[in-house]
Amino acid sequence: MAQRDRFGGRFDQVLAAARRNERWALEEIFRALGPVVTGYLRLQGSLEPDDLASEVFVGVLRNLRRFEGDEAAFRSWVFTIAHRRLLDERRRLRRRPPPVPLSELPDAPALDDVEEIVGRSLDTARVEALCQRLVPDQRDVLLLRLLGHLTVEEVAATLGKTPGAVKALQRRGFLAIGRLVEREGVPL
Amino acid sequence: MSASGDNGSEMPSTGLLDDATIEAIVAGDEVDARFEQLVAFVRDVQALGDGPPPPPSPALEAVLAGRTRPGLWSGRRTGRLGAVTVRVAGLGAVAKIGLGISVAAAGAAVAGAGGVLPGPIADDVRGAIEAVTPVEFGGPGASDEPAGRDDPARFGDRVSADARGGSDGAPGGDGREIFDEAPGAAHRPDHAGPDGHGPDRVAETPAGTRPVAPSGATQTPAATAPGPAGGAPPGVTTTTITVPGTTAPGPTGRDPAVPTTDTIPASSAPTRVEGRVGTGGGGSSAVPGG
Repeated sequence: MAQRDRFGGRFDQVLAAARRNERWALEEIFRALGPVVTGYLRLQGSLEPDDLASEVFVGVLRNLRRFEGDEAAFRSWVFTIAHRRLLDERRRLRRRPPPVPLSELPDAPALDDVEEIVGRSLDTARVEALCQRLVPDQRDVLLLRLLGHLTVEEVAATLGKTPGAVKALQRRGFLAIGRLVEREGVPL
Repeated sequence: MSASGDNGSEMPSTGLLDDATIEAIVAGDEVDARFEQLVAFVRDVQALGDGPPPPPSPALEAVLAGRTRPGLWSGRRTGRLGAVTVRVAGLGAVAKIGLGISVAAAGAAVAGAGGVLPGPIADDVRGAIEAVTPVEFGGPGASDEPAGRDDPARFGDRVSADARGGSDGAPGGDGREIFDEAPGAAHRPDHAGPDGHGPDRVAETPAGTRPVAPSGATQTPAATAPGPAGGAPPGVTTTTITVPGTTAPGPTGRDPAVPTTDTIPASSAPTRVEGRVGTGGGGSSAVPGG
C-alpha cells in the first residue's frame, strides 16, 4: 500500500539537493511521487497519463525554489499542480477532441511476468470503471485522499471547497462505490 | 443533487459510514466487516501508486539531466519567445553585452532605412547600409541619387545600354520616345515636346519598321492613311493584324482567305495592334499607309 512518507524520512535532504540541481534528488522526487501522480491522472480518465505526469513534474522540478514546507505540503503542492494540468487537458480535449480514442488501444505488456501484469491490468480496469461511475466532485475527493494522501483540509484547499463539503463528498463517494459493488456486481 | 451515489439510503450494508470509519478506511486500519468492499476498493486504488514511475518525457528527461536548471524560471514559458528567452538566459555576460549591442545596431539600421530617423541621420544610415550591402534605397533621401531626378528637362538623359539595343544589336529607344506598348499610352496627351521629341509620344513606329523607319513613319489615322485595300472610310482607324509565319502581301495582292488585316471602327478599337511578320529580324511588315 502506498505510504504517506515516500521519502524515507529524508525529504528535507532530498529537497535541498534537488534545489541544487543534483540529479539523484530530482530523480528521487520523480520516483517517489511519479507513480501516485500517474495513477491519479489515470483514474481521472486522462488520455495520456504518463505524458501528463511528465508535464506535471517538469513544472514541479522547475519551480522547486518557490516551494516552502514539509513533505505533506509538498505532496499537496504536487497534486494541486497535477489537478490543474488535468483540467488543462480536459479543456484542450473539449476544444479539439482526439481523432482516435486512445483508451481503446491497450498498452502491450512486457514479456516478463505477464501473469502479474495482466492481473494488475484487470484490477486497474475494474477500479477505473468504478471511478468513472462516480460524480466528478466525488472522484476528485476520493482520489486525492487515497492516492495523494491529502487531508480533508488539503483536499479542500486544492479543490477550492470547504472542509465540510469535502467530507460530504467523500462520504457520498464511498457510499456510491459500495452500492455499485453490491448492486451491480462490479467485483473487487 | 440526485447524481449517482448521492442518496445514502440506497446503501444498505454501509449505511453507518461516519467520518471516523472513513478515516480508518483511508488509513488502512481495521474496520467493520461490512465495509470490506470499500477496503478492497481503497487497496486497489492505492496499489496504483506502488508501481514504477512512468517513462519520463524528453522534456522531463532534460530537466532530470540538469540540462535546464530547476528553479531558474518563475513560471511556465512556452512558444518561440520562451525558447529565445531561455537561450539568452543561458548566455554569458560578454555574450549578452554583444547581443545587446547587435540588437541596438540592428534597430537603428532598420529605423534609418525606414525613414523614421531625422533626415541627415537617415541619409547616413542608408549610406552605410548601401556601402556594406547590395541594398539600394530610392527616394529623395538616397545617398547616391542626384537631385532633380524627376525634372522634365532631364527626361531621357539616362538610357541603359539594353534599352538602346546595345545588348542584342537591335536598335531600341533613344530615351525620349514612349511607345504605345507602355502602360497608359492611350491616356497620354498627344502633343510633342518643345523640340518635337518631348516626353510625350511623337514618332510612333510600328514594329518591324522601327529600325529603318523614316522620320515620317508615324501612326497615321485612317483618314490620311489608306488601308491595304485602298483605304478606309473617314473616321475609321486602320488596324493591322498580321498572322505570324505569313508574309504580308502587298496592298493588292493579299489572299482573301488569310485575314491578315482587319479594319475596326476607331470608336471601339484600340489604336493599333501589330505583330511581326515572319521570324527574321528584317522581315517586311504591313505598314498602314507606309
